[in-house]
Amino acid sequence: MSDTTYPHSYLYGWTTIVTLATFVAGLLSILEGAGFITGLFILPDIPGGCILVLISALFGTAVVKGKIDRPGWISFTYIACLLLLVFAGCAILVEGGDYLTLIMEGEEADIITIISSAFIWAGILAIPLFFGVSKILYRCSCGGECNE
Amino acid sequence: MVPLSLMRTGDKAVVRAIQGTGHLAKTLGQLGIIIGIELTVIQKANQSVIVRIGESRYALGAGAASMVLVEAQK
Amino acid sequence: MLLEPGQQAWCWSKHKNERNMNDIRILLAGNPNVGKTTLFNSLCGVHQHTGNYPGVTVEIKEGKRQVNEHSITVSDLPGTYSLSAFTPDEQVARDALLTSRPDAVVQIIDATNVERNLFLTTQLLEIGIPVVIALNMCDLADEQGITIDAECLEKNLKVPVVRIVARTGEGIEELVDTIIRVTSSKTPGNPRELEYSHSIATHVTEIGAFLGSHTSLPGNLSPQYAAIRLLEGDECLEKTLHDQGLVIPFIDTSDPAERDGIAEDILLARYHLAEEITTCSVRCTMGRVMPADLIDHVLTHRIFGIPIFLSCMWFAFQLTFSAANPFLVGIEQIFGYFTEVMNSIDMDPFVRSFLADGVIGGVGSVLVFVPNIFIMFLLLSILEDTGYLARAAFVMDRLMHSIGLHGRSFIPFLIGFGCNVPAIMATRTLQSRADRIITIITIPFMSCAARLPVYILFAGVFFGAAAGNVIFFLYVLGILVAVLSALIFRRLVFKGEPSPFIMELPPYRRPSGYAAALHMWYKGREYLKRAGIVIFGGVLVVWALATLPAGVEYGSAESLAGIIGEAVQPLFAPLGFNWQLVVGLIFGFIAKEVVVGSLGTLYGGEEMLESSLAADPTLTPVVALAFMVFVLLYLPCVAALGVIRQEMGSWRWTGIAIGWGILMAYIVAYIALHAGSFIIGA
Ligand SMILES: Nc1nc2c(ncn2[C@@H]2O[C@H](COP(=O)(O)OP(=O)(O)OP(=O)(O)O)[C@@H](O)[C@H]2O)c(=O)[nH]1
Ligand SMILES: [Mg+2]
Repeated sequence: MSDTTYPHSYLYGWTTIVTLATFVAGLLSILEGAGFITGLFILPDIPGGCILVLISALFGTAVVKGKIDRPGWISFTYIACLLLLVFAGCAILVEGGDYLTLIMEGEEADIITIISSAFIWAGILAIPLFFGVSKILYRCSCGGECNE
Repeated sequence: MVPLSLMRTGDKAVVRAIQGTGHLAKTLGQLGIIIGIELTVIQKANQSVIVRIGESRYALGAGAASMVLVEAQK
Repeated sequence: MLLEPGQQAWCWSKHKNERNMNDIRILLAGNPNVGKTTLFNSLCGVHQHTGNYPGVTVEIKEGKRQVNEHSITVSDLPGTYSLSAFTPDEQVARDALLTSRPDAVVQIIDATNVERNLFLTTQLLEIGIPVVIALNMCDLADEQGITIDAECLEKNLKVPVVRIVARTGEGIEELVDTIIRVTSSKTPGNPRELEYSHSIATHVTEIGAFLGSHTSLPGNLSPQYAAIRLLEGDECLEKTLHDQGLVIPFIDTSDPAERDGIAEDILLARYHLAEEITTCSVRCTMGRVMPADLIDHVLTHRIFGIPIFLSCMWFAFQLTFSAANPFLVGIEQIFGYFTEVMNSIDMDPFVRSFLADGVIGGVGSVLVFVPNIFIMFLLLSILEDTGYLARAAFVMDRLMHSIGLHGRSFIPFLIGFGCNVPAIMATRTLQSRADRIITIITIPFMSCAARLPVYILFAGVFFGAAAGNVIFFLYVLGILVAVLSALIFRRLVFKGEPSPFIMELPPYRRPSGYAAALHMWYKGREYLKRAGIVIFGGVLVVWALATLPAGVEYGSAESLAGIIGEAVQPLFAPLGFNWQLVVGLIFGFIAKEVVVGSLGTLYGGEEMLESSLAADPTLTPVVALAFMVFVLLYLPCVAALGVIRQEMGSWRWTGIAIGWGILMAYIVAYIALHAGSFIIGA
C-alpha cells in the first residue's frame, strides 16, 4: 500500500464524503428545480438532480461494499467517479452552449451559469478519488492483488 | 449439476451438459461453450448471466443460461 | 434476407469466374469484431463503418488495392464464428467463402484471443482455398503481456501468418506481399488437416465417394469437404442435395441422435486442435484480474444497469441540442446576411425568388440543423467505440424480452436514432425471422436525425422555453409506440417467445477523439451530400410548384403546390393540418428533412420561416404538436423503404410495415391533438 499516493483508508473515507456531497448536490438541484428553495448558487435541474442522486447511490454502494469486498468498492467507486466526471464535462458543454447562444443572439447572459451546475461542484470533489482509484484498478489488472 | 442461471456472481464452474439440440445449442457450441469447458460468472442479473471463458465474455439471457448445465468449482 | 437457414433458394448461387491473370480476389474473413473492416479500410483507403461490438458489418463490401502490376480486389465479409451460419449476416459470409472461389482467404485473428479464433481457422483450412492468417491487434496483445510465437503458429497450421496492427497500418505491406506470393502459386498449399476419429473418417470417405460419383456439387465444393459439411449438419446443403433426389448413405439413413453425436465429435475435434496449437504458440505472462470484469460488475448491475444507461442517454440528448446551438445560431446569421445582401442587389424578381425562397429558404432551413446532426453522429460513434453498446443490449434484454423483442434488437434501435437505414440492415444479426420482422416494423418509430429539424423548428416556434421537453417527449413517444407495436405483433401475429439472447461482449476501449471525429465527419459529409442532392432536388420541385402556373402569387393556394395541397388536405382536416403542412408531408417522403425544406420554401425563406409560422392563424401549438407526432411516426423515407423491402424479402410485409406506420401516425397524432387541446383548455 506504500506505493500509491492515496492510501486506501484515506480514499475510503473520501468516498464517504463524496457520497454525501453528491447526494446533497442532487437534492438541492431537485429542490431548486421544483421551486422549493431559490437563490442558491446551484442550477435548478430536476433530471440532473436525479442523476446525481443515482451517482451518490453508486458511491454509497461502494462504501457499503468496501467493508468486506475490496474489488466491489473499487469497481463502484471507479464507475461512479467516471460517470460524475464525464457528466460534469457534459454539463459544462451544455451550459457553455446555452451561454454562447444567448450571447450570439445579443441577449444578457451571466458567464457564471457555466460553472454553477451541481455536477461541477461534486465533480471537483471526485477528481482526487478518481485518480486514486484508477491507480488501484490498474494495479489489480496488472497482476497485483486488489486486496492488499 | 445446476443450470447456469442459478450460479452467483464470482462463481467458477465447469460445463457438464447443454440441453437441447436446436440452433441455439449449436450457437453455444460455436462460441466455445462446450462440455468440459471452465467458465467464470462475472455478472448475474436476475436470470441472465455474463460469463468469461478464457479471454472472451458472453452475455446469456435467461433462456440461454438455463440451457447450460454446470457443476460449481471451488 | 429473411428466409430461415436451410430454405434459401439462392444459398448456393454461382459466381462468375473468368478474370485477368494479374487480378487477385481475396476475402477478409474472421470472427466478429476482430478488425476486418479496419484492415479493409487500411488496405483500400476507404472509410467503412467500424465499431467495437460484434455485428457491425452485415453485408459484403468490395474495395481495390493496386500493387505494382497486381490489382487486388478485397471483399470485407461480415464476422462469423463458424461456417454453420444461423443468422443472415453469417449466411452472407458463408456463401461468399464457399461459393465465390476467391484466390485466397485472409483470416483476421484477434491476437488477444487466439484460441477461440482458431476454431474458425480449422474450418477455413478445409475449404480448399489458400489461407493467409493476419494476426491483428498485436499492439493490445503486447500491452496485455501476451506473446505469440508466429513461427510456431505457422509451422503448426502450415499457412503463412503475418502480424499486423490494422488500426495503424503496421505490417500491411508484408501482408500484401504474402497474399501475392500465396496466390501466385495457385495451389492451396498443404494446410494442417484435422484428425478425425476412425469412425468419422470412414463416414467422410464413404459419403465423399458417393457424392463424387453421383452429382455435381454446388459451388464447386470438393466431395470430401461436402461430406464433412453434411456430417456437421449443414441443412442448406442437405436440402439442395435432397432436391436432386439423392439418398445419401448415413445422412439419410441413421437416426438424428447418432448424427448429433457425430456433429459434436467434429466440434470437439476442432476445439482440440485449436487448443493444441494455442498451447504451443501463445504464452501469457501475467495472471490477471480483468479490469473489464470490475467495470462490468457495475455497468451491467441488476439494479443500476438501466438507470446508468438512461442517464447517459439524457446527457447525450442534452448535448445534441445545447452544444450545437451556438453553431445553429451562427449559421442562421450567415443565411440572414446572405438574404440581406441579395435584397440589396438589383436582380430579376424571378431569380430573386429562386434564390431567396428556393435555395436559401429550402436548403438553408435544413442546413441550419447540420450541427445538431453532426454532434449526434459524434456521440453515437463514441458510444459504439467504447464497447458499452453491447452491455446496454444485455441490460435491456429482460425489458425487451418482456415486450416480445430480442435483446439484441436494442442495438439496431440505438443506431436508428442516427439513421434508420443501417439500423434495418443491422437486424441481420438476429436469428429468428419473427424477431427480425418485428424489429424492422418498429425501427422506423425511432426518431432518426433527419426528423430533428422538424422538431427543432416547430417546438422552437410554438413551445418556446419548453421546446427541449417537447422534443424529449417526442423521442419517448416514438419509443412507446414501438413498444406498443412490438407487443401487438408479438401477441397477435408471431405468437411465442423471442429467441434467447446470446452475445459476445467486446472489450472496453477508451474511445479515441480523433477516430470519433473522423467518423462524425464521414457520416456528416454523407448527410451533407444528401442534403445537396436529394433535399435540394425536392425543395426545387416544391419551389417550382409554388411558382407555377406563371402569374399566380408565389406560394398561394392558386399555385400548383396549393392545388395539390388543398386536394389532399381534407384527409388531414381532422388533424388540423393546413395545405402547406400537407405538401411538406408529401415531399417529406423523399427524405424527412424535405418537410422543413418545403415549408421554408412555401413560407418565404429561412429568415421568414419562423415568424410566418408563428403568424399563420391555422397553426396553433396543438396542431404543431400533432404535426410533429405525425412526422415522427408516418412513412419512413424512400431509402429506408428500399431497405425494408430488401430485408423483409416480401412486398406483403413491406406493405404491412408502411400501413402500420401511417395508421399509428394518424391515430396518435389525433390523440395528441385532442389531448393537447384538452390540457390547454383546462
Ligand atoms: N488497438 C487496436 N484496435 C483495433 C485494431 N484493429 C481494429 N481495432 C478496433 O477493433 C474494433 C473492431 O473493428 P472492426 O473493424 O469494426 O471489426 P470487424 O471485424 O469488421 O467487426 P464486424 O464487422 O462486427 O465483424 C474497432 O473498435 C477498431 O477500432 C488494432 O490493430 N489495434
Ligand atoms: Mg466489419
